[in-house]
Amino acid sequence: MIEENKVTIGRASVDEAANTESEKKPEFEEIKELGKTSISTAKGNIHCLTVIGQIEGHMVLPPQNKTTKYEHVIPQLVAIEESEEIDGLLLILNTVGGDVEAGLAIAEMIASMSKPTVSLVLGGGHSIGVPMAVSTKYSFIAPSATMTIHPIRLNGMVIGVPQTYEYFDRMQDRVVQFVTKNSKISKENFRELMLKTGELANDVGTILFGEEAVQYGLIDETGGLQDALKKLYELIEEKKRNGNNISKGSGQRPEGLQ
Amino acid sequence: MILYSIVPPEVVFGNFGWCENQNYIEVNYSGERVVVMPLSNNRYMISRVISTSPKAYLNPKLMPGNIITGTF
Repeated sequence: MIEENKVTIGRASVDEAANTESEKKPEFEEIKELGKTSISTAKGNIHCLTVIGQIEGHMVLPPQNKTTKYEHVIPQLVAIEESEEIDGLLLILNTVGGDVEAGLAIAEMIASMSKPTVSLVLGGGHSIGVPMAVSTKYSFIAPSATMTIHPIRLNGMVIGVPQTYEYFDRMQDRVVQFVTKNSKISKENFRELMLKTGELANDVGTILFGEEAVQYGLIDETGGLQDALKKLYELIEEKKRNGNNISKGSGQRPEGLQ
Repeated sequence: MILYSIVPPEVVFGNFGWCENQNYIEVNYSGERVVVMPLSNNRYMISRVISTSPKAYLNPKLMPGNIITGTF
């Protein structure tokens, strides 16, 4: 008796489910179709590029280093810029620095992209990670993340001290100029942070926490993944409305560029 | 090359000269030329992609560090 009941109940529920499924089928498809179109127009497809460890440039670093390879990232950026399916780029940074030229090259590539770009610094965006973090149209930093700003160093024996000093000063200038061009921090403030004493044990420089980086104008906002994605979709939306013009990009030049 | 990093150079460049023992080989994988490092049992680790097609660099199968199997 009980078993019979069970069977009938079971059968009834199966039939019911089948009925509802067949009834709902066109509706489901509609939702699916509509959902699909609305997602690709309203929100858009994003590509996530993670930069971790050392930025590897002209030298293949020994295997104890986790590296982000310059020759891999550059064509990726070209593909992202050219791809019709990708609407925006999310740059996730957790880097300890690396090759100056490679880092600046990647940062310049990102800064000159026409697609909406948003960066999120998690953990740390140190040294050459700073220009990379500010290269996007909008930047976020996790409150717990840090950014170390310090001068470009040189180890070992130096021949021709004045010349070497001059050379490194000019190398450093490239970083300072890029950062000040692509963020709200002033040249004076950035240099001051770079040459500050008493914060790092064996070096001059500053460690900025998430909130401090925002206060100095280096990064636009503190936030997490949700905020970064929201902003990126906003930028995509804005770009779709205004055509190809986005507020900040390669065309922007600072007034006082020396 | 100028290193701009918070990691001391001796840590970054420690164990230098490791590459002399590595024998990288260039193979065709998924229709693209890749440089791989042989591991063992027909397993290879992708070191870099050599392609002029930017799309190849978006292929998750061809990311550096990926382990692939096959006979080349």
